[in-house]
Amino acid sequence: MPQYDQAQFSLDVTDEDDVELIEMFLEELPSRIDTLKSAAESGDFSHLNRLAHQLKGAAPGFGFDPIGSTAAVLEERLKTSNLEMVELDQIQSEFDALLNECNSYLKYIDS
Amino acid sequence: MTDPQNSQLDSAPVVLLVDDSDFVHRLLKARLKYESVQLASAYNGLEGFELAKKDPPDLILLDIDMPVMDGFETLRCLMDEPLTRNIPVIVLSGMDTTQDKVTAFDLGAIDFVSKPFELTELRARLRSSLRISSLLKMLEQKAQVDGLTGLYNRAYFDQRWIEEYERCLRHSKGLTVVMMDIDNFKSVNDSFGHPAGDAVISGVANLIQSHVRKSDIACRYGGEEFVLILPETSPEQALGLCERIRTDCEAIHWPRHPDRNITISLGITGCADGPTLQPIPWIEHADSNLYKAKESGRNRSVCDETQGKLITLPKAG
Repeated sequence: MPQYDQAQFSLDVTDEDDVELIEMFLEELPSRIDTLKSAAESGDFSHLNRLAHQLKGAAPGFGFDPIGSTAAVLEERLKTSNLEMVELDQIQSEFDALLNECNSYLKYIDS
Repeated sequence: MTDPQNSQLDSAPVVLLVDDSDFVHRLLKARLKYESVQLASAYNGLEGFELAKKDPPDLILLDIDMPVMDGFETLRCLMDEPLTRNIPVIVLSGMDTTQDKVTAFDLGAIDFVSKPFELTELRARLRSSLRISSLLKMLEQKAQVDGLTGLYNRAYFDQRWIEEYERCLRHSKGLTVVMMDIDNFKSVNDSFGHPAGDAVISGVANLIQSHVRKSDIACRYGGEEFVLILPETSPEQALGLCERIRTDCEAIHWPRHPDRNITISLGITGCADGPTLQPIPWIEHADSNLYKAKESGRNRSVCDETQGKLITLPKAG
């Protein structure tokens, strides 16, 4: 079992049930990151909006509070924009913040 | 619901989660595994609504922002549908402005939990909503049951009769109604006192309940009058049941008045394949058959025959 840094998780990394949830989320994280990237690159901002909305709601429950809060910032930013008109560079900083946060957990996945 | 005595919840309550995010399903599945609930899943509003109609859960956790049919529209459908109207719904949503909450409560939600949610809070709210809804269910049941006999009461009969009538109309199946009345009941009260009269009423009610099938609906219509709704039953089939009840009643031994037996008269009106009368005239017709049974000597069943000839049992002579 990889050693989880408690500072990065909002669930108890010494609790068996909590770790099960953390690993459940980690397992899907790479494909989740790919989906985020492709939505952003193809300019499908309503899809990106939905993905951010889902991450905001779910990530904290699995122990990933920072992903949840950066996703919330991105969703808020998209909500106040016209999804038809928005350009990637207008939301770049919010998007990068979410992506960096996600990437910071990849070290826990065995490659 | 057919048996007012035995419809209390006895197994773990079923909670239906309607949410488009697979994360939430996995999270709750893991987090509720020690809670005594069974989790059912739907991934959009329409699927959730259809599932709730087919297999009504004890509680629904409903997301708002979903494809196909959103949570508010789903809530509207659930509240419009008689089969799902009384299922408590907790809205579980990342859309949590004051306006969203007000809309959810006004549409009929029992509670609102914002996403991301605290699991301990969600669990507590789940328990609280289940508690309230089981109390409501109990109240509803009490309001339908007659206190002395445990049979359904008159108010329940009035509502259920219309429902069964409409079902019969839709499916062109059999449906029979039986009006029955204890013969010379007043003299039991006068000679042996009201407690003896009450014992007779509940004794006859127990007898009726022991004879009917699970799908039949036995009600106390008034003082010493009872009414039976027999779905998917023709009047001829009903006559057999009525005669068994009548002859068994005659044979009951009453400890308070061993020398005075109790008999009943029965009026039967029904159809074999779809109604020929409106609901109210139908009841009146059964009542007039009961009157004929009384007039022709009591302790008998009177039933219409298909050719319009009256059947009376037992046959005279």
